[in-house]
Amino acid sequence: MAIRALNRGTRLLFLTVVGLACLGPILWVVLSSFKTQGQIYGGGSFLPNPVSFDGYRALFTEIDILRYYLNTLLYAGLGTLGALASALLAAYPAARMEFPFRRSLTALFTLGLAIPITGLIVPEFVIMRELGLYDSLPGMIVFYSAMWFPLAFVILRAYLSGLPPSLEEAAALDGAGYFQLIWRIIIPLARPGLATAGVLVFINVWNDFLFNLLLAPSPEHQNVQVSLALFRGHFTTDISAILAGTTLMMIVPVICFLFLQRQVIAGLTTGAAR
Amino acid sequence: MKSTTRWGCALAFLVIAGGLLAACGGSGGGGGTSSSGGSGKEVVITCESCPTTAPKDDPFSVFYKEMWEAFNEKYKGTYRIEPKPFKPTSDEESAEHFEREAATGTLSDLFTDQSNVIRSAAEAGTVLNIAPFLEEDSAWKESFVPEAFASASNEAGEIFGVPEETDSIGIYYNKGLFAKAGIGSFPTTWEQLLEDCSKLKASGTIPFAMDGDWVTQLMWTNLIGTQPGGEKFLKHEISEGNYADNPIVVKATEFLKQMHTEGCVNSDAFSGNYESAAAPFLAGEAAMIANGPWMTSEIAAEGTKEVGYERSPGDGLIVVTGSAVWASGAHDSESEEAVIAFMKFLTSEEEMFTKAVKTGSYWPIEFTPSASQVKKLDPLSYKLVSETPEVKYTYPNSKFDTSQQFSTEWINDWPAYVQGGMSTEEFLDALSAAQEKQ
Amino acid sequence: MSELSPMAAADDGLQLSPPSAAARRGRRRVLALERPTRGMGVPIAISLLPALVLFSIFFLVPLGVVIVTSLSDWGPIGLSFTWLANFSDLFSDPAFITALKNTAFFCAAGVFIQVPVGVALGIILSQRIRGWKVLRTIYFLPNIVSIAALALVYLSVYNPRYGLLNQILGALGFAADHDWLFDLNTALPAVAATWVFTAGVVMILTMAEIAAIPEEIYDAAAVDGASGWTQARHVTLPLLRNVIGVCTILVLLATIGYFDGVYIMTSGGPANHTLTLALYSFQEYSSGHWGYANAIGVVLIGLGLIAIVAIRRLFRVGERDF
Repeated sequence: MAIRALNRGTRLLFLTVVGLACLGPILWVVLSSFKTQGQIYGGGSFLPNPVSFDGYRALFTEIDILRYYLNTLLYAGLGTLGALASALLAAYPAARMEFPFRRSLTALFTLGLAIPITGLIVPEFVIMRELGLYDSLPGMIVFYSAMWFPLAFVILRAYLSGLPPSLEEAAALDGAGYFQLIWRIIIPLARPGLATAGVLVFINVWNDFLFNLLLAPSPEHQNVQVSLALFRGHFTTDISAILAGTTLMMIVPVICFLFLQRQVIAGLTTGAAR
Repeated sequence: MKSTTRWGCALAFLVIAGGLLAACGGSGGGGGTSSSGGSGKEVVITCESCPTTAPKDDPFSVFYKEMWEAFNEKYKGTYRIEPKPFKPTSDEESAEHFEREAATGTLSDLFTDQSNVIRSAAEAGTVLNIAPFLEEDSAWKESFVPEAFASASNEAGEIFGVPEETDSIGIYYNKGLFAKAGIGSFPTTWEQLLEDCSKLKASGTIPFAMDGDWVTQLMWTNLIGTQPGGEKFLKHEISEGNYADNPIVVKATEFLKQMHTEGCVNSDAFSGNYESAAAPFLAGEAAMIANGPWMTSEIAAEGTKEVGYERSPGDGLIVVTGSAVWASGAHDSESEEAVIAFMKFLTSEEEMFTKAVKTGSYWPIEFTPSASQVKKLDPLSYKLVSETPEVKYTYPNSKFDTSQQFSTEWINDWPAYVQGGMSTEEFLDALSAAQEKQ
Repeated sequence: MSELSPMAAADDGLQLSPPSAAARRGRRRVLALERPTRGMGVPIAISLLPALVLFSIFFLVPLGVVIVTSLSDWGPIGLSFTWLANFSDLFSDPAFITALKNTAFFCAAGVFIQVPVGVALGIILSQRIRGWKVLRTIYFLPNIVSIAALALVYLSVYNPRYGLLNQILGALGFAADHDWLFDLNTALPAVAATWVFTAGVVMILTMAEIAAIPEEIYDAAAVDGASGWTQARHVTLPLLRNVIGVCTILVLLATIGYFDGVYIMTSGGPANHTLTLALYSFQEYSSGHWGYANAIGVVLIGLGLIAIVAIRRLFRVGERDF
């Protein structure tokens, strides 16, 4: 019994320490974003007292944060759609049809997840520039579609393989063609798979920093991550605004996760190890 | 959900298809240069440094945008600027861009960059030499301060652009914090600065705010410039490296380190982010900071009380003319004429005064504002500008003639040097190596 | 690391099928049934086209370009082949060696701290302790936040003048003005500490794997008298070999390419003490040394591939013991 109590104690200690280490700083920043500059420098209380919106007010007057939000939303929204569309069209035959090089093609696309893509910055930059996609909104959307295509492909392929076999037979009896079949039968049935892949891609694009910095650096094409990280670096002295900005960077993925937790978890587990 | 997914997919296809089409179009079209004509006799000149959008927190962009629009308005029917904004993210990218355009003869009719970039771009022979135009219009030529063209000319006497500012960069200090520490006036010698540091520290104040890059290098500049021979180093020798061999530089570097080790500087002075220097000064926690006249608007906005603006201890002042220059790649007489008209417009008393009011950056021309105009200017920075003739040493700042790599290396190594991880020689050699890489 | 990118562990993608045996049987039948998909060639080709175009342009071509141009002196002005010169320069370049060491340090922090912490969390929460669902959300949340945001969070936490860490240390009576990120001795661990405890992905994968362990194994263990901690150590842990391997690969891929955090927090300083391979490559790209940047990129990608192959071998990833 004593050993069990000890075990329980160690477990609790471990959970507390890890929890504080990973969530404590984030919580502190979120709470501090409601403090005034003076309260932040003054230290003392963990909680803002009184609650102040100075930081948020300063942020909204100093930079065009809504525009960065809109950019990020466009990148993440349309990038996700692009990745899902190309992945679904490729995953369907890869999962349920027979054609030459099917296995090698599948393996190739899957390999896309295994490349540490930060090693490819120069070619990505040069290719985007040569294609006339450098530093533009549509360019970034195409890039994100391509970059997250492998992840969407892997998840969708796994999902589609698990659907019952009788689908195509029924459709064939109907006389439906290939794309009609995808449109009318596969997409509705694959909705859970699409949601799973979609939310993961969305969050990943939302959180991108390097490629936005590299490929669309001008202020009107920056996303929230880049604009706020650079906002901090350049001629800004308002700590409460910086903390408010940091909070705003985190809020969208967190909300996505809280509402779509099941899909996120399903996506992570489908993609890995199976 | 059903229909949104469907529409979404369709939309994504369109986006991808559109992107690919745009790509084909984009790679097909080459970079055109100056195109004269269009609507009859109006001369159209291209401008890569004329912004079409100006964020409200960027007074320079706001000024440039209004300025080229005003030019188009004034010369309606004769000349017209067609903006083709190029927006670099880094100094390196900008330098590469213009050097490449210079090498391939595709420079736009108007652009601006740091004078060192313009000089190296000009080596390709495609940057317009404006010396003949200055000779032609002696009134224009004489409107500039002496040495205004030094940064943009070569030994053959060719001049590759017009300067747009003279910056006098001094040191701001918080009079309230000085009084609290029992200090009556701003230090005039470096020894006195150290003494004042310990008094300020004793009174619970951060004596000097630095950031590990810009502000720190300004103080390094002041320490070098206020020694005999320092001006020569900052004007000419600094671009060549070999810093460890120069006793002036070694002395200045070690003194600056001493300021840190004696606790004269804020504890977060190594980030390379201007914020870590500006924040404590603006919050009234640090007593001194070196910075240019553009900071006065920030000081006013923060409501920092009773701020003074003085030259450096050792009776020196950083004065830089033409650190940025407007240049041209025009190569037909019509465009050249339009370009010169623009340069004259830009450097007119009216535009230069407007620029000073809006951006806090002062003119490179011989111009004494009227009493009513002075009222519109910021009193702190104008005081320093008007005192410039009495200062013993004036010199450009260290960033004027060093590469971007120099500053990157500085940010990287400065904390290590101050903490004793590098000797003075190692630190200066690393800076020299970065500078020579250029 | 919080990049949410599960790595498919399968060799050929075929192992990615859903777990149920029924579905597996079903799929085989589909394939058998679909084999005579004659006349579908054209639509299938059209269907694969967008993927092929995107994948070729943004994965295959860049991969080819990075390898070929790593053998050249390439920049905005032009390209000339110098063959192995970049690589011989690399290994006599102290900055590169430092970047390699720092990257190795981050990898080690990921493998030896993040993975064990995540696995432990997964095992504990799988015991369905009270509030496990809430705890799962709490431990996962930091993973959903971008590395850029985490970097900004920790810049504030480490700030010597108002940061949380120094405030806590001050309250405990220690010296409270330490600049953690710019001190030669603390910079590297301080950077690693920003993400090393965000082990949510590892935790989730572990929990899923544990859920897939058949009940019978536990029943048998219970008969042998194992329970609680003993059961976790002697029964569960060995069965997690596969998922630990997968997590190790995931963590290694993220740490080998680590960029965002160091770029934002330290720019690689002080004196390159936190420079990583990805950041060094980016810096060389920024100063116009594209060939050299690509040589670093090749090393980075090579290390990624070596890590994957080695870990797959070591952990026999793809095989389960149950």
